[in-house]
Amino acid sequence: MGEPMQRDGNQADATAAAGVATAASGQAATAGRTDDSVTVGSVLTETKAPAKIVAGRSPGQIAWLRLKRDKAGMVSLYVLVVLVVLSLLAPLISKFYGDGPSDGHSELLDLQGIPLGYIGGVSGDHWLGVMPQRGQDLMMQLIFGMRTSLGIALVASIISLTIGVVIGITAGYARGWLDKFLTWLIDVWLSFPFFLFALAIVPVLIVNLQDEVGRVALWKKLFVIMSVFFLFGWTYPARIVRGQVISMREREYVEAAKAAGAGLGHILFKQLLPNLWAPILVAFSLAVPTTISAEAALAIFGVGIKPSDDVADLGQLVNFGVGYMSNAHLAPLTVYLPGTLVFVLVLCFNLFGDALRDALDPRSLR
Amino acid sequence: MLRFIIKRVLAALLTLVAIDVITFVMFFAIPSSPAEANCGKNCTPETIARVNHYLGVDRPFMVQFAEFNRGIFLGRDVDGGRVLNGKPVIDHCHIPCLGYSFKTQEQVTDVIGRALPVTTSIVIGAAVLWLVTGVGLGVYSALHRGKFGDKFAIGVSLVGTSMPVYFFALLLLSIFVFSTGLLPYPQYTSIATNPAKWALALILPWIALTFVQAAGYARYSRSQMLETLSEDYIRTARAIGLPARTVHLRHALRAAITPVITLFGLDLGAFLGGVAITETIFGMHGMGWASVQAASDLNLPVIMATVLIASVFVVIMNVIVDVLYAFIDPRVKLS
Repeated sequence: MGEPMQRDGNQADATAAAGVATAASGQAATAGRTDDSVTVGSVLTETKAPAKIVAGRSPGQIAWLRLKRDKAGMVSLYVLVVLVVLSLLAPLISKFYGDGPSDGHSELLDLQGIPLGYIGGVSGDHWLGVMPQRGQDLMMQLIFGMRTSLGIALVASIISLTIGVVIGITAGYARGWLDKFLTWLIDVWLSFPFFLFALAIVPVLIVNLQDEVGRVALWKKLFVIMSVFFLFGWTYPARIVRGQVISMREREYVEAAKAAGAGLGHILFKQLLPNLWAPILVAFSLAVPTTISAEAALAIFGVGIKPSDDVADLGQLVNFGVGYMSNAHLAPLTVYLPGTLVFVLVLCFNLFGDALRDALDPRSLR
Repeated sequence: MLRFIIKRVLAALLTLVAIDVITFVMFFAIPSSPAEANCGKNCTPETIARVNHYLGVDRPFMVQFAEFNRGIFLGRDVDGGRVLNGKPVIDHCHIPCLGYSFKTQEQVTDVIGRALPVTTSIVIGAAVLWLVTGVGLGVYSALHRGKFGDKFAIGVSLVGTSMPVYFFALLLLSIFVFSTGLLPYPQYTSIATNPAKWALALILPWIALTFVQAAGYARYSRSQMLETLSEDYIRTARAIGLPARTVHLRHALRAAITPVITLFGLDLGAFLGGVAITETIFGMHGMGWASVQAASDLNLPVIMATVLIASVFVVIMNVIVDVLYAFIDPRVKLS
């Protein structure tokens, strides 16, 4: 259905990403024509240094140099690194902090289940206070929740990109009826109201995975949630990759490889794929925030991970906070922090994605 | 032109058939014993057997599929398992029959009929707002590129594109409703009964959707406008001494806005199928809310109908956008 958070002006991205590959089509393609001004520019700045430094700079290094100059991009990268490290070290942090995400502290709540003390029970033991009713430590819930959300988003994005790239390369290189069919399939897929569909199909699938006692193993649930994302996430990368492949398949180096007797696999994966990394990276950096936001949205509707699963999840935390919306002053951190964390994650990924796109595309306007 | 339109419509029909098949396969081929899941309060084994028979769980897939589609175009009799004075009641479901909602004991078309006006009220109002503010902001920053206003607008739109709508809606509610009490908690009233109440209830959903959507439009129309402003014909227009206003609004904006309108059409199609998050948080019982509700009740006929209707909106808007585009840009037809 395309709720706002999932759409980020896809067409704008498509146009921008189209430029990306031209930039990074380095390798064999740039041999004849030094088409990007960056190479020239960076060579000029290095003229004072000994000549041998001028010699080698891969497109990747050039992009990294450009990226390093982008302040917003670098700041968001640092924030992301910190957040990712926090979620990777979650169990360790919990050990030193002395509290786990699911440990309840009913002694810190009053009879109505409202945390005692200031700002929702902030104290030396519970830096961000405890959650109303549940009595769990908010900071631990946030860190572990971020781990779940990031994990789902990263895995789902990688799988959907892989599917998208394979289908995109196939469609773009095959042309003819296969291309027509795949393009049509993408169009059909894009007409599906993704969000409604996910809301509807996830509970149905989960019910079918119940064992005799009516319980569902957590990994099965996580797999169902992720599969919905990669079932629908592949279309956008597939479109971009297809467009790129169509423009690249007639290039000289592909023909040279063909003339030299290279097989189909070699041309697809050794000749074409290396030139596709730039648009793939950009698509990845856009897919991750979209998935984080959408996964949280699913959890908000009680689809997917539920409180009874005993797994912290950002969306579920947002959902819990929404329930206290009308009494926000009783537990302000529980109400506002989970949403803020989702927002910060998505914002940083978007900023970094923008910076990455600019770094990989020398023609980008700013 | 006519040939292009016919071709496009035929392709759209094919897409719709494919969507129909996929939806049906996904929801009906999966065994989930819908009869038991959807059985109302007074559920007896006989009722389950009857509903199962009506649903055709015992019949082959193709027969079920044909029945369902016959209902859409010709109408059919549905057996909701209702009993009146000891006799089973069989309802006639009029065209377009989308099935029977056992959970709520009514026809699916009734559910949709209640929900659709709510969603259209939210979406159309918000769409006008986000198009105007988004394009306005984008054009403004393109014309003031690099200046403070531009940077500010870019910053705001970055926040907007990254802001999850549920979080923004939460902020709006806690600021305007729960802390200050400036606005009442939204409660949908039909525009026919009381236009003022209707608008009052919709203000917050409109603001939420506008903020989140306008940001993307601002970014997109800014980049389109910048690209157009670097074209040769704009330089020519400037060179022959046309006033800046004419150059910007008559020449540049006209070219820059076409792709934005395309995006707008597609978004409108996607949103008319239901804005589940916005509707749920603001307590609006529209299409999105109906499908969320149906999903949590495993009310398959309603889920099917909402997914199907939402896709129909997308496909129809796709056709409209393509045809409009062909009118505006004659090169499209040739390809």
